[in-house]
Amino acid sequence: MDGMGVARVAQNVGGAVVGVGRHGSGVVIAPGRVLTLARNVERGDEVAVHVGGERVAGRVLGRDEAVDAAVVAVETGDGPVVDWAPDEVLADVGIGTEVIALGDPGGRGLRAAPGFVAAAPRGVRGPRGRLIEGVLEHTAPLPRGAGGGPLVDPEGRLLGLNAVRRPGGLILAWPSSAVRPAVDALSAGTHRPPRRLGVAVAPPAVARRLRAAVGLPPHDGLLVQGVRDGSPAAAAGLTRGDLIVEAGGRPVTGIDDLYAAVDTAGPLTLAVLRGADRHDLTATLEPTP
Amino acid sequence: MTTDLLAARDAEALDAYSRTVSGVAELLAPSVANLRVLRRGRDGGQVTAGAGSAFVLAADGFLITSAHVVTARRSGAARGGVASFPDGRETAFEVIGADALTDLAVLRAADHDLPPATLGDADALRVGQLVVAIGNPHGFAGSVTAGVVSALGRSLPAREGATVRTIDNVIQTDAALNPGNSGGALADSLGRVVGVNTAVAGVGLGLAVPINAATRRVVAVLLADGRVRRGYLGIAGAPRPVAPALRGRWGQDPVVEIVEVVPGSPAAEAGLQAGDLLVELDGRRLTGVQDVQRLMEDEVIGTRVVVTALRDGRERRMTVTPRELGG
Repeated sequence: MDGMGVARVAQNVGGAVVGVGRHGSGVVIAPGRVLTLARNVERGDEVAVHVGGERVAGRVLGRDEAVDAAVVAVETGDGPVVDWAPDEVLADVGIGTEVIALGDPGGRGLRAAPGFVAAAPRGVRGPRGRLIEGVLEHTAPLPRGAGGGPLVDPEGRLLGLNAVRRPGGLILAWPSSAVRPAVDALSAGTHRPPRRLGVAVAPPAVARRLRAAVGLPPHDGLLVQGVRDGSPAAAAGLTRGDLIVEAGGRPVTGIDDLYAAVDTAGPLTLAVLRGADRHDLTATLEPTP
Repeated sequence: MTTDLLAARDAEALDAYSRTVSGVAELLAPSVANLRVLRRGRDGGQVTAGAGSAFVLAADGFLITSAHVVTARRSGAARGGVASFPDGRETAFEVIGADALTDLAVLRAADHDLPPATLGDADALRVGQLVVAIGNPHGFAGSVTAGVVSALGRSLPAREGATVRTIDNVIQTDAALNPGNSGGALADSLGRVVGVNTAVAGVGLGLAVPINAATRRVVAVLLADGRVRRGYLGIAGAPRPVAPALRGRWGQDPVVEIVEVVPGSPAAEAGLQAGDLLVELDGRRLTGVQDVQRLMEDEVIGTRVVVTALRDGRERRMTVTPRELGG
């Protein structure tokens, strides 16, 4: 992409790029609606949004920490709005796809930089440890505070939200395919945080090593390292040292198996190994209010 | 009933076991701190990154804890924080040195007038012996659990980057170790610290890094230098039985077959090859990879060490110069 292309995109899309709080960016996805990273609005329900050089009060409508996205209601006048990239465009994104990354760090001024997608889209763990599929790694350099700003294609359509700076100047962007499904519920204020069991677990590799150290037979599963007081896990009788081997009737070979079972409505059946003995437990999970 | 009478009945009810456990708790709990580990937050403020326990090594403010409690999981960077004691004292601490491969760390507290614990010797422990685990999950009161030594001589793999070594002679106990107990003390019935509680492998399967000559040495090195230097040969190996024809010379114990030699490593420079059978290093008979690991202490770095290997059934002697691991 040449400088003309970047200038054109900055001109068309730049007006929809906003500063969020003192350390973040965001993008206007509909009149009065700003999409940003959940971490940019982690404190309170009010946040200052910098729209077109002006500081405006914003109200957080919802946060989805699993995909690290939040929607803020703010007066954006009749300024530009960024369109979502259509599914067929997202499906074609791969190594070498041209992208432009934009940000307005804390409202300190618009940045726009060209780059390329540097890796095939892949699953990356978000801030809450949940897998985000199709994450885009790209080379467009951005300063601190650009997190939450848009990553767009040469037509100015939204591919994702810039989120994580990596060594070597690479940036990870949460893809529109993961963020967009959450936006409606966030905008409507009807997003519910995921159900929580209330355990801290060690991954299967650690569990295997520790079991081997005490001479227990190897078994795939998640080793319970801690149980939160008063949690559904505590009520179900889970205890530190249990190895969770089944959840919702399916074998657990990694943390995502447990997330999938916890996300499934209804009581959660668990099978744990306590030493070499199997125990079946049932946890009653409620959506956290 | 008067309170005196009640107290007398309570005293009677305390059998020898309880007296021992509560005696250890009384003696040691004041020396066990709760650690709140801090890291810099997004907005520059300090946020809690983790918690654990530690015990006082010496009155001048040095504490011992588990390395994993005070280091970042990915980068291994050490983190300071706040130590709180049962008497309500709170003091900032910094990490003097942490060694992921023994899971031990030494801290220095800003407050210098702390009640030290007495160190014991885990090598003198026997299976079945009473042990008391003392942690401090909440800062104001110790958490005390008692049990027995279930097994001795366990090996626990520890990892730092690509390096995996085993922590030797780990103590296994059925004393329940609560989450906040990591880095806390495992004590014998006389209240002497014999282990640092490090992990839970299952219900009733707690593991503690032993306090013995080897780990005291690690602690001394951490106090003096802030880090543990180890020698590096650059081989991956596995134990192999000795061919019957060679048993007359080398005995029944297995030898170490070299599975891989890292290019450019001291082992490669010495001419060692995959398939070689290592039988002796520095004049000591090797029966497993752990023997190699044990001999790679810091004093061998940069020195010439004679290694005896079998290749095609013939004995060869070579000289290898270990370099510093990760150096």
